Amino acid sequence: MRKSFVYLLTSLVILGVVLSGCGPTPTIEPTKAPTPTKAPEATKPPAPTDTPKPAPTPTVKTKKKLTWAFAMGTNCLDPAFQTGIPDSNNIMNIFNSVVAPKPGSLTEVAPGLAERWEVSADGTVYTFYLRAGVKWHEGYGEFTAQDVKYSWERVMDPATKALGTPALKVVKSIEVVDSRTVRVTLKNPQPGFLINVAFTPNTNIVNKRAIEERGKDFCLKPIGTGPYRVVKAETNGGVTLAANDDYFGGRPAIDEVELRVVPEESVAVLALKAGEIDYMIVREPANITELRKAQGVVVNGDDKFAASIYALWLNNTRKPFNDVRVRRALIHAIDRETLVREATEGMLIRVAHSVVPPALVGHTDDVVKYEYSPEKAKALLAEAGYPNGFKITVDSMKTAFNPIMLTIVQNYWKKVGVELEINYLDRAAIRQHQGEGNYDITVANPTRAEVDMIMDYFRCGQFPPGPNMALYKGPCELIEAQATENNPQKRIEILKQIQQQIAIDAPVVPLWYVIEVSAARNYVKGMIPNAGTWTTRFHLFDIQK
Amino acid sequence: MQYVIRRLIFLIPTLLSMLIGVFMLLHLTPGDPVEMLLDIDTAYVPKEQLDLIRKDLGLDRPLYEQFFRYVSRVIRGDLGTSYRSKLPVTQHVRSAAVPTLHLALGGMIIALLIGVPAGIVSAVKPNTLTDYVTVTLSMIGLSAPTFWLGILLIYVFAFRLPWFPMIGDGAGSAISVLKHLVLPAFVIGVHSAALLARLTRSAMLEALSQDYIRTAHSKGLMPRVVIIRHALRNAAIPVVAAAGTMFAYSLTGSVVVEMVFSRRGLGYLMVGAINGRDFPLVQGLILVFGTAIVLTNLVTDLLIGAIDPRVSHG
Repeated sequence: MRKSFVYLLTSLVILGVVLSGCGPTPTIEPTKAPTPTKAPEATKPPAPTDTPKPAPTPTVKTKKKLTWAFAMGTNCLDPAFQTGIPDSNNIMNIFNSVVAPKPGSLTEVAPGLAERWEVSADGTVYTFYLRAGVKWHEGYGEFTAQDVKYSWERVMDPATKALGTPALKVVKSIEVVDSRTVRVTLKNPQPGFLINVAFTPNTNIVNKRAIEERGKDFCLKPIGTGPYRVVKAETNGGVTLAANDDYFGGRPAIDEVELRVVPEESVAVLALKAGEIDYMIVREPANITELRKAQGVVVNGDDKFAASIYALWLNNTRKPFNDVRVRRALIHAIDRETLVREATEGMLIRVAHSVVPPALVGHTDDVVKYEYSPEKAKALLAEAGYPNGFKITVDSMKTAFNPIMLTIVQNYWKKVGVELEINYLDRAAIRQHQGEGNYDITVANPTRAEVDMIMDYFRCGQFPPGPNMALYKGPCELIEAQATENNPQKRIEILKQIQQQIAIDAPVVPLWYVIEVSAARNYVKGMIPNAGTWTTRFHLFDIQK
Repeated sequence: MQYVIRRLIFLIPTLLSMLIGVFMLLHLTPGDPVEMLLDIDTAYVPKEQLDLIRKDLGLDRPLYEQFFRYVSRVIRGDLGTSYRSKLPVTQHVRSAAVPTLHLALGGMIIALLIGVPAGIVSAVKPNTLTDYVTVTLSMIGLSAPTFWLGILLIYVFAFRLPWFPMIGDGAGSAISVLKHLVLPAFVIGVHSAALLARLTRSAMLEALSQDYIRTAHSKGLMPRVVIIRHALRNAAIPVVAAAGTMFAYSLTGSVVVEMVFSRRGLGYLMVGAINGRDFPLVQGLILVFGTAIVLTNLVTDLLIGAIDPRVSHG
């Protein structure tokens, strides 16, 4: 009896140790020493505090709160180190860049921290005239031209190890003319520069003092000038934003915006239908259909704002895709009208013919169109020396439209003798294969706000590990020419020629222009169709119950 | 006591071999951690910057060197920092362990409360309607896929009947944590309960057919005393062993439940870490899981020793 008592006691002690070891610890907050909350040279009496001051909520009005769901949690809200959609989306609401996306447009930008700007005749010098009286969150003083120089140079400096600088790689120097004027010189003219700046999260302007004071903690406690300030952010978890009373564009209508992590989209759909959340991005076709039938829910998505080209990228250096007849045959073999209708369950999405999405500068539909014709496909294959077809493999992730799209394509191709084997991989593995150019066919839908970045996918100098996943050598000079062409009309003309040439060469099988579909409760007003998930701007929303 | 120490020492080679396995697997799996960090084509990042990031993460060193550096850090109690968040792995584990532990404990309680009595009842009345119903229900419980059951419960008890919240693990008050726990714990619990019921039933049936039970009955003991004191105590041994394994399983294997119920526990953390090729985080979690399993098994063995005087750990 005594022995068994000893065993019982020991096991309880061990259990206790285990549980206390990983049990609820009093602090989950960063264990580092608390950063000095008071700046030594604090310029203003209201010293910046880490704990958010209770927002002066109007007592009469009820607080307007928007809850949205996404499958991933936040990681870092520092523009230089953001990774992934929830971060970039929140960053676009916490910070500002000198220019901002113009609601509902991908061809123009709106003023941001700069009220206006001038571009030199040769297109290499941009002078930004900045707003006066813009305040940083939490009493961090006033925004100046120096902040622009600091922020951009910080991201461009390799020592910062920022995660990507696509918009700023063309910048040669940044000069502070006076406290309200900053002059940016480019290495070469780049007509898409402003659009790139407006849509790239890491061009957002940060506060030097806050970064130096907060160090690593800046990730979850950032200081910006944007319409919202961060109240609470958890690694891998949600983010709560509160309206910035001093926002230069006026206080946002919604007082609080909360991101909640919901990994399983079908659960988010139920939560939206039940009103537990107010807004979400929808990826799975079946869920889009279900939400369109739901009461009290509005589904948004407009073809006009499509900034993404969904395509099968054929490896043009491999047999049999090195023969243009084979590539054309593969497009002819698919009834893309039916494919789009079936795969997207009747969403109003257009079949893609050109590789440039419709919302971007220079898009044209005036290109060769390969209609559905199994006969033509068979004839072309026979001509190319494959009368009995062949067997090929496609690499794909098992997400969103891919599985249904590939199954339908598989069936169409089978009818002309082409056997498609589908190889599902996770994202990291796909990216590795893409970086090595190691595949027959790979699936991707590049989403870019600036047409030159879509052109990267067809640039001759951008073979893998670059983004030219088709390993396509097409109108090389024209693609370079449009990138630096300062005359907008001329540029559009060049872009048209490029699109026509690409359509003739058929390096990819264009499927459709993917749109970002969002859904919200019907009391959420002011939503603008998204070009990409990272551009949801909550200060334009309102809640009217 | 000696036994416990010996078992704990045995933990070291177990963990080391696990670590070697995971380390090799991670580095052999296609996928570049830096690429996953960038979330953009590496073509957009200058080469020197990529090299700096790689160097920063220690990925520029030969594989064996990376491994020994890692192991020597682990020995000093440092599990490293996550590539992605730059936070210590221990901090990630600590905050994610809370919802997972709640879930595992909740699931265990539900499993024991449902499974053991169900097993006893059906063993005491074998081949009756009660028995058939119990056996059928446990069959269903065993074969219901976790994912399906989770969505179903959310649909019925959170959507149709708004009794429980759908999302998250609840923060702040204990009531909120409990409310968020009921449905996911039930999903975990139902599966284990089904197994426990079947195990208890067969163990009890065996125990009830033993001579000493007949003796107890003939001594004129009350049936309840015979069942609980004599039969159950003997039948409990396999049940406790199974329950221990289940507990360990739900500590490490509740990935699906955590994803469906949006609970940010260890399983959720693991999925994100694997997808992002966050090597230190994956390795750290494997170590934690390994330790948890070994310790749970140890506790189980000790419990069996406490129940069954014939078992000696001397």
